[in-house]
Amino acid sequence: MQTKRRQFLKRIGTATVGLSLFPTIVKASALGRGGHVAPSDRITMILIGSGSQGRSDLNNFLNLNNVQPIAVCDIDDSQAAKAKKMIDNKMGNNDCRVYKDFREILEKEKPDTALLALPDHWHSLIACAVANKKIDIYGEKPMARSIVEGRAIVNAVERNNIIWQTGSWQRSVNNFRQAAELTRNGRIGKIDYVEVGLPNGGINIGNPPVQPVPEGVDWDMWLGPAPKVPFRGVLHWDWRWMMDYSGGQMTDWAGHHIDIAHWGLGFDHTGPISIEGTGRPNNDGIFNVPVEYDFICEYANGLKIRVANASKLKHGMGTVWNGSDGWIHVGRGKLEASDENILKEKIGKNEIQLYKSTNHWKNFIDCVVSRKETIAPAETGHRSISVALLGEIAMITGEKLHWDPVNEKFTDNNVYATRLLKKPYRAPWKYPA
Amino acid sequence: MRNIKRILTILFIAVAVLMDTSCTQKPELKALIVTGQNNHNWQSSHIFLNSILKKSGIFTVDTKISPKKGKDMSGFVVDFTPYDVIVLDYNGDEWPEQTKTNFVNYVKNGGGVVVYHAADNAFPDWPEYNEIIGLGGWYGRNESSGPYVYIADGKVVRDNSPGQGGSHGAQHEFLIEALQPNHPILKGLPEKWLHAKDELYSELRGPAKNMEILAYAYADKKYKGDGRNEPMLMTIRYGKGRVFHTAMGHCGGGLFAPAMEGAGFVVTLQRGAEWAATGKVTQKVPAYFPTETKSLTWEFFEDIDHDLTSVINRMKNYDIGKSYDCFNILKKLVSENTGNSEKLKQYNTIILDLLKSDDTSIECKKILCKDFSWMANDSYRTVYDMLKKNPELADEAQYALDRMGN
Repeated sequence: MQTKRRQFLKRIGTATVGLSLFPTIVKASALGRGGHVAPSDRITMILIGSGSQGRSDLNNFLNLNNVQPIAVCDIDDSQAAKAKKMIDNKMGNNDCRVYKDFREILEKEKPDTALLALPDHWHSLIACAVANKKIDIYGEKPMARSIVEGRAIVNAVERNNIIWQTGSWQRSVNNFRQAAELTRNGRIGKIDYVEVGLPNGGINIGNPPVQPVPEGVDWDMWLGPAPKVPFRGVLHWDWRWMMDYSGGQMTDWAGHHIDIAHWGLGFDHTGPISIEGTGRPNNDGIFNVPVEYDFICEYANGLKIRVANASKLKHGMGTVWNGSDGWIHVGRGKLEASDENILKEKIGKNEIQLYKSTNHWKNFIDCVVSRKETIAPAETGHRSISVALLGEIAMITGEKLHWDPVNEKFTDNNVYATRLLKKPYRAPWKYPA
Repeated sequence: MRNIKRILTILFIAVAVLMDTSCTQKPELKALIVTGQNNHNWQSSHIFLNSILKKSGIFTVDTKISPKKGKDMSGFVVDFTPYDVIVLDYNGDEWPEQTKTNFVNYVKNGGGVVVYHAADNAFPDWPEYNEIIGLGGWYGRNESSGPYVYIADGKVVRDNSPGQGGSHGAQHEFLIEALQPNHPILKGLPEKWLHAKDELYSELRGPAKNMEILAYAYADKKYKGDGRNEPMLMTIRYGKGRVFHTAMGHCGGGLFAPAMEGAGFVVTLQRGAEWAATGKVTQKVPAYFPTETKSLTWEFFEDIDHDLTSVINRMKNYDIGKSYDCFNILKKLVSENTGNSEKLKQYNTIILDLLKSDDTSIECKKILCKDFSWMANDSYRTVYDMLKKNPELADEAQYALDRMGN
């Protein structure tokens, strides 16, 4: 039934360029904002992971008025309940189904799309399972917790020919696109050096004792493929400060400012050839991700990208491209350049026009209909996080790494670094094929 | 029969408790850090002070955190009497009267105090506090607070000139020179040593009663200093109490504090705290110390480059809830020495010995399997295989084998 719907949507997509804003008599082209969207024309969606980020994305999808979430899955009953309430309120019914095991929701539901908002260590396994069901995916960044896992997602997306949007929503914000477009079109000349400033880490809760698992939480399922450890009070949000689940601010923000750096350089399908740097965690405590970090990537054309705490860099948070004719700095709510006239430049019709999207969530749904690539497809998302993951490996081994971005291996077959390209999975979980 | 069983059980437990298989000396002295408001980064400094005191091996450490600035302080009543030494990391709102009285009485009756850096900025209008700290700076201190005290021509000078109390130039590394090298706090340490980059507190002024200057530093004008030899380490007697005052150890907004990581700062603070608590210093002088020309930074507040026995011991006895820093130390040493085959050999030996020993805690072995398997060489394989046979470690050993690959 879903396949027929997809074919139907594909025909609609080509027939109506852009989605109609007003409801029309013809039901087939009734998809659109503002008007009532008949149930059969809505894009159905399931959520896997309905924490604060998932619910934030959910809100953005609900505001599109043509998305119909039909089920949520979360290992924490209370999180699932919050999402169900949001959905039921919007839909005006009690129909949203709740699951606790992603295998069950995938077995029983047949949605058009899935919203995945999970801790990093779960990204690959679940994304591949969803892709194999030929469900289009809005997947939160960072792509994955390791490079091998990230590539597995890209392969699964391509193999199953599904639409993927990475949650790198800055691409759908005007100043970021403007900055990247000016840079791509040589307005600051030849780029030789880029700086990416990311937030400080530093949160520290010391060494808490073992604690009872909260009511309604399946702790073993939360852990999934990560090593089995007892519950010590860290569940939502703060898992990102623990290496088993995330790489801290470095990996959390790679999908934002490193992603934009690549965009301005046209590097969405490539990576560095060498990486070296240092990182320092809190001296003590269970939060063991790097809180102070500084690494440099060199690319094949000689260009260098430095990624470090914003507090160490001249321009602070965001991305700075330095070229032969000036510099451009872009961050949230910020766009500045060595010369303000650079920012007034218009991009000509025959120049590089970067993908324009003004709503990241709408862009995904539009592409689900049109079958066109999204603004932040899987390969792009994988390349963005790869920079941070390589930086992380360089910090752990303390070595300068030499990388082959085409074949995604170390050119000197560095044993240590190669081992760190993937994380062992706990039985019974298996790596996506 | 039941009673005999009960007695035997109690005896058995008592014996088990007395048998300390880890053979570590239990810390004898109790320290209390008072913090919660400061014109510096107290959120970090109190954690660093905690580490520094714990690493000496002779202190247990409690922390009392005040309400935020401007909030109701009436509940901030502190009983200092259970403690051998109070470490002050506070400047801000006035303490409740009861707490102030408790503090003064505590010191008068023989208590120990460490005045750490900007704690000497606190309470300019509380006379007893200023007598206890000896010298202070900022917040309106001037000639009415007492004289400037500094060193000139090898002698202590008390200068009643008018002027503000407290200043410092740009942060830099500066030379610490002992005025009383035989004082217990300094005995055995080099007489001159280069301190890490720090604020050089100058123009402190106060009652300076019963105060001894142990060491000083020259505030060079090229760093916008006042050109005087300023006191850096002082002791004050107040009633029966002993006060150790260190002007060093700035903790700024960054994530780490290079000044506090200076080995000289760490060691003098540990020794000063012990002296304040007992009047004696039993701690051994470290084998490695900053020299006159080269400063020394201890990122983990201990000499990990030369002495790993304490680190290894902490790993061996690790359990959930205990300090995790021993593993961070080993990770740092490994990442800094992957190119040094001799050091790497040493670290591999440490890890393998811990994995093989029956005295190593299970939780330690789990972490070693998980976090250090990326660097495993062939000799690890048999060890991991052996650990796999233990049901408590099977998962982690498998993780390690998976990580090693084929």
